[in-house]
This record gives sequence, C-alpha cells and structure tokens, in this order.
Amino acid sequence: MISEDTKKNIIDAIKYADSYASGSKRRHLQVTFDRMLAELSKSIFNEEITNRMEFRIKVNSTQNNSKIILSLRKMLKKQDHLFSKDYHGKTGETVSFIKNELAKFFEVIDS
Amino acid sequence: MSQEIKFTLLIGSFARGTHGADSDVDILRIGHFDKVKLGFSVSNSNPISYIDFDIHDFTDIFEDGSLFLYHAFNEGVLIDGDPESWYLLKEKFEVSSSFKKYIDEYAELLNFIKDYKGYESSPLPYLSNIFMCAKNIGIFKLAEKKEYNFEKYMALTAGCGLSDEDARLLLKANTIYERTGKVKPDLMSALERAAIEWKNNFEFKMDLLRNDK
Repeated sequence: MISEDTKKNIIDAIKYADSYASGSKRRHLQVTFDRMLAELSKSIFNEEITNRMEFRIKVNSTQNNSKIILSLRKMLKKQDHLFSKDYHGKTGETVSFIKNELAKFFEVIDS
Repeated sequence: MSQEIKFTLLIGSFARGTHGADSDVDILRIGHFDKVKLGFSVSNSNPISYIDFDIHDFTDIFEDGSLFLYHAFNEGVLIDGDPESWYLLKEKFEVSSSFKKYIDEYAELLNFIKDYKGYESSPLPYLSNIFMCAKNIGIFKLAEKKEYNFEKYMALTAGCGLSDEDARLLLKANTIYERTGKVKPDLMSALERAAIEWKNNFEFKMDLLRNDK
C-alpha cells in the first residue's frame, strides 16, 4: 500500500515532528505526503490521484469502512495543517497533526 | 519595532490584478488574526488564503530583507492599518541582495524528488511539486538580478530558463493538483509524457534551473 521509501520518510517525520513543522523539512514532508496519497489512491481505488481534495472526497464517499479507511479519513480531515500558508506562529498545529493523525494512521497501517 | 503593529494587506494576483478564475485571494495579516472584510466579492472558486505573521516573525523577516515582504510592500494593497506607519516601514525596508540559501533549499528539494523512486508514476503530484520548487528558484534568481517578478510563468521561463512548453505543463499540473482536479484524457497523456521526460532529463533540467544556460 505504501512504499518503503515513503514509510521511511514519514516515520522520520513522526519521530522528529518538531523539526518537520516549518522550513525546508516541512516542504520535504509535503512532497512525501503527496507521494503517499498517490500510492494510497492507486492501492485503494486503482487510479491516479488528480487532486488532494478530490481524493479526500473519494475516501469519505467509499463504502469501504475498514480500519485503514476510517483512520485515513481522520488524517485527511486535518491535512490542511501541513499545507496551509498561514502556518507562521502556528507550527504547533502541524506538530500535532504529525504526532497524532499521521502517526495514528501509520499505527493502523502497521497493525 | 512597536508591539502595537497591526496591518492587513491584499497580496498576490488579486493585488496585482492578474488573478484568474481559480486564483487564491491572498491576505497578509500582521500582528493579528482578525477576520477580514474584503470590500469586494469573490466566487467560491477563489478561496481566501491567510498568511499570518505575529510581530516577532514580522520583525525577523523585516530585518532579513525578505523577498516576500518586498512583494508585500510594493504590490500589496493595504486593507486595514495605519497607512502612514506602513509607509514609514516601507521606507526603512531594505530587500536582501542574496537569496542563495533559498535557491539551494529548493534545489535540494528538487534533488529529493529526482531521487524519489517511482514518484514520476504519479504525474500530477510529481509535476506539481517540481513546479513549486522551480517557481521559487525562478523568483529568487530573478530577484538576485534585481528583477522582482512574482508571476509564475515568468519565474519558470525568465527565472529558470524553462521552455514555454515545460512551463505551461508544470503550471497546468499544479493548477489541477492544487485547485481543479479536472483533467481531460489527452492532457493527462501529455502530463504523463512530461513526467517521464522530467525523470529522464532531470540532471539537464536541474542544471538549467540552477544556472543561466
């Protein structure tokens, strides 16, 4: 479902969440996150991702209510914390997203 | 710098008057997080996007001679805040002349994408993220020549030396991936070819982006 390269990058971000909340590392995490969504889109829907929001709509609409989908829905609901332009002075929200929603999604995938 | 500073500005394409049907309405808030009354109507396809700086962060970028702040001073439209104070700040502001640190950061991110196994098989996020890096490298490279141009197409062509076709495909990929999500099959085929072309010629294109060949 998720490639080893993507897993490795996301696990590093979860481990060092504070440093991934801003600057260069934040941009690296954004690139990795987009790759992860593309991999999930292929795995779940067997199609290329075209847009982050459209992907979220598809995940929310699917009849599949597996643990992974439920956890993915929760994670995607908060994905804006990673991509919003107004993160200056609010990096705590990004750290919280990485440590909570993203980390919990990974726990479900690995379980 | 006064702790009482509080400004609101319209920036970006709406401030420049170059906005399109899907452009963000970019609002810069300095020293506050209050809701902003625009004074003009926008459609649902023009999301409002806030960029916020508290006084501490604002002071930092002011002293750094931030290119972003240069853009806000020169193209921004003051919506709220004391015009005279804003003008005095603008007069005091000196834009930096070196952006090497930022160019290096985005070039390093491009390398990260280049080496990411299989990323090109997802053309839209792949090209959209390449666009984001190239656009910023282009803007900073132009600024080092004292050409302050924030238009995406100009950043890609005049700033990075990319061809018209490369620039247009990167722009389209970014618009689809970040905004519309709508892509016709023939365009998708073109984007798939562009992604493979980037993958196969990444070193050459990186060289083009970093230098002025």
